[in-house]
Amino acid sequence: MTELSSGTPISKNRRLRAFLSSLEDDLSTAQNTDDLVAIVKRAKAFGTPLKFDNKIPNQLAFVLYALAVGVGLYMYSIDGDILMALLPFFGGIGFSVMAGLRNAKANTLSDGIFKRDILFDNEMTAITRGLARQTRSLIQTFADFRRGNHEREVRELIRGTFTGEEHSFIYHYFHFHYVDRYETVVGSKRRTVYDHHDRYGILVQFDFTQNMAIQSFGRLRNWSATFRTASNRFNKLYDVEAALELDAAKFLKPKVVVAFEDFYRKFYKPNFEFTSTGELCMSFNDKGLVQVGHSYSLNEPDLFIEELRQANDLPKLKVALEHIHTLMKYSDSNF
Amino acid sequence: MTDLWILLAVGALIALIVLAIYNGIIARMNSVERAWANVITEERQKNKIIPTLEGLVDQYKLHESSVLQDITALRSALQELSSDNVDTAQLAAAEAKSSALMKGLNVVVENYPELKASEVFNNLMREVAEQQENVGAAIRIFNQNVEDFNNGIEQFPNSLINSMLNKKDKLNVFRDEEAESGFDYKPNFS
Repeated sequence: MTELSSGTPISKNRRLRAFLSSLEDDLSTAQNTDDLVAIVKRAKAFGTPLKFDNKIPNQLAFVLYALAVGVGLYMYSIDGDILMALLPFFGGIGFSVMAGLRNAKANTLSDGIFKRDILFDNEMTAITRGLARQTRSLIQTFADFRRGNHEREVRELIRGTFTGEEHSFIYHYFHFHYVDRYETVVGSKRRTVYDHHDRYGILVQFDFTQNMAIQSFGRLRNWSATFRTASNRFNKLYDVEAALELDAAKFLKPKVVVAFEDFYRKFYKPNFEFTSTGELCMSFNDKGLVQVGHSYSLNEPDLFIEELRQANDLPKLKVALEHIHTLMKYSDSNF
Repeated sequence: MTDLWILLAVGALIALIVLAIYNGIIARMNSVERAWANVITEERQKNKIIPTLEGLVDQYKLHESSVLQDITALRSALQELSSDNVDTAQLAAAEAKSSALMKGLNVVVENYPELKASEVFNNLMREVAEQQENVGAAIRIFNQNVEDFNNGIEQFPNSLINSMLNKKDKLNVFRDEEAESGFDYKPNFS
């Protein structure tokens, strides 16, 4: 008999809550796929499906919904006002949401395990500490992080290594969230509107050019020189600004220009910013570069283990990194 | 009086449209010329590798091979290239000479394992490969600009303005004859 199948609903739920919490602790210290498989095996031994017994909240929700209908009908027959019926109705919704949310916890944990596995498969490490400090530093360094007038936050920062044919480099994948706040007038009322946006991208040390921005989404950097390449197509897609026009002319060789044209077809609103200290920030609106859908969860432990044991590649991230490698390859000196 | 103003406004609008189309055709022609100059610049970059190649010929005593003749042929083909007028035949000739030199070199190098393993030779081959890719990319940009130009003079009402004012002819894109000869199929463009 598994641990999950015995006891009263309350004691069962308490045990499940404590167990899920211990799995979360294990997840936070996992070092490789074997550690993740061990977590799934523990879940299997505990007893699946990992579901809370929602008999009591479901019954309470049912009673409150019935009460809402009863009160509603009664009030309607008296004065046509059913406002009082809303109270038990919302109470019922509260219990239903509670039941749904706590069962979603096992799925969230499965997502977390799978995400961790993707990082292990691709030799990446999530940076969880000091993100606020990192955000401030990135705002200082790159114009792309100065978007939004209300809130700016780096929500995800993942470190990885790319090994290419000619160059290898360390990179950081980021997810940046920013909020634009503005006032608007609707009828006679003034309203404050908050627009939430996300940018994603890659940060990398790039020693082959400097002080230049190649932008398709807003002209955020204004260096003294602008540059137009020989390609009409490239010029329609990107604005090039640089401290020295010569730097832009040297960097934007034909092969690099067509690489940028091709990159634009694969990524939405890409921007490239090269700082004076040789850092490159490549950003775009495409999300999910470090995501792969998974078919199974902790509730199907054997199949989930099989899924974890498979190598999960990140093809779109690879395309972005290959593009950076192309830029390096055609900017370096072969002699 | 109002009718006169309307007529004047329509006339001014038409004049502006004609002006925009006329200037657009000129701008597209200029961008083709710039793209062509870019192709020639990239092709001439091959001049940079010739001294290194000659150095290797001397060092490894490759005089008996055809490499030296191929180098001379490439140098002379590169000198004949002109960025002032779009002559795709001259470019094709230089490309053929370049290709012949590399093929010859690759055959010869098989008999010189020391040369094949040398760092200079490997760097040279990497440089040659990148140069060739840059020439290919410059040709792609040129062909894209030619397409823009041809669309700009053939589509209506641009065709009307071109026939009356600009009087420009359709341009040929650069074709790789060697690659095309490998296909039986030939598109029947009219």
